[in-house]
Amino acid sequence: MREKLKLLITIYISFLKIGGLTIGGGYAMISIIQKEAVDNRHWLTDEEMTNFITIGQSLPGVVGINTATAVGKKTAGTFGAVAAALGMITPSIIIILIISLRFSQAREIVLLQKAFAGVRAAVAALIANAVIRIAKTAVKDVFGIALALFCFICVVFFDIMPPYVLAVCAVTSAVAPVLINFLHKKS
Amino acid sequence: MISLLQDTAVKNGWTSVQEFIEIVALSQVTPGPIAVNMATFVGFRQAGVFGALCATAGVCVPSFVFVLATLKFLSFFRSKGTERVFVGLRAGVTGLIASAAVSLASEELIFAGAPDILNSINWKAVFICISSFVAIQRFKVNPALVIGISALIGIIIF
Repeated sequence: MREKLKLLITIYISFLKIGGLTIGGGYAMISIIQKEAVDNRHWLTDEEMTNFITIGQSLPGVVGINTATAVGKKTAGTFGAVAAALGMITPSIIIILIISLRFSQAREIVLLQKAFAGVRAAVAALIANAVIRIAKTAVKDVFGIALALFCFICVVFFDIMPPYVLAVCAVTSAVAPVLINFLHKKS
Repeated sequence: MISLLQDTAVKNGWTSVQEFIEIVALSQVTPGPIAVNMATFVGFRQAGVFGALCATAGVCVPSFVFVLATLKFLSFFRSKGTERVFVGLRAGVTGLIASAAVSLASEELIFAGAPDILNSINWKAVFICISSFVAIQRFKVNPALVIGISALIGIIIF
């Protein structure tokens, strides 16, 4: 019981950190969550982390909360999921409430803007790092490379909404072996 | 998601369109998931701290339900078929995240509307981006630390 409570508190604090460092949406968080959950805490393997990131991005809902819920559930059951999600939203609530209460202190805002310009440049690097790490467990053959490229091109050049592109990937991947088998038998 | 939030907030008269755009901008630069930040903002303006908590809880519930249901489903139906779907999704998500890196980099590292290529590159941002990448990739520096240091460097050089 004590052990469990301790684990829940650890999960809460870990995700508090992750939430507080998530700037610019769900993608920035990936590198940090990988470092914390896989490298530091050893809650899951790289492979499982990639699966949870995939679930988080593919399902409806907030990507950050989705991923936190999945990691929390795996680590400590439903209470773990609650602890992770609560940790994730705590920094948002505190910071937004502070800003709402004392908004437009001009000098502070200029400083903040400069700090965030620096952070956003770093976040691009963080995301690139996450891509490299995920690719190692997620893209294993030519088929995977083709799907990843397809997604990339659809979103960057044609501005297609990610859920549609992901749905195409899922269906293609599920149907491809059946189709290949069928063609094989026919010939 | 953002356009859905806009519809809901504007239709119900919770914010004006102009206000909403400000809220989006602020939610993107403050820490935390963007949707959670926006919900907290709109909820607070409408009904104070309690409104903020309700709105935040509201955006979290679908995540919770979908993820827990999916994990339950997967633990029952671990089959070749679901595994194949996952292979496709994993590869797709990799491409998706790569696209996010590229669009963020093109926003941050390149000035829009500059006269020629040399002038359009934001060298300070490029410096932060490349040194962050090397620090994380080559020297295994904690990404959290990299964010903190980049904020400081940003204050100094921008």
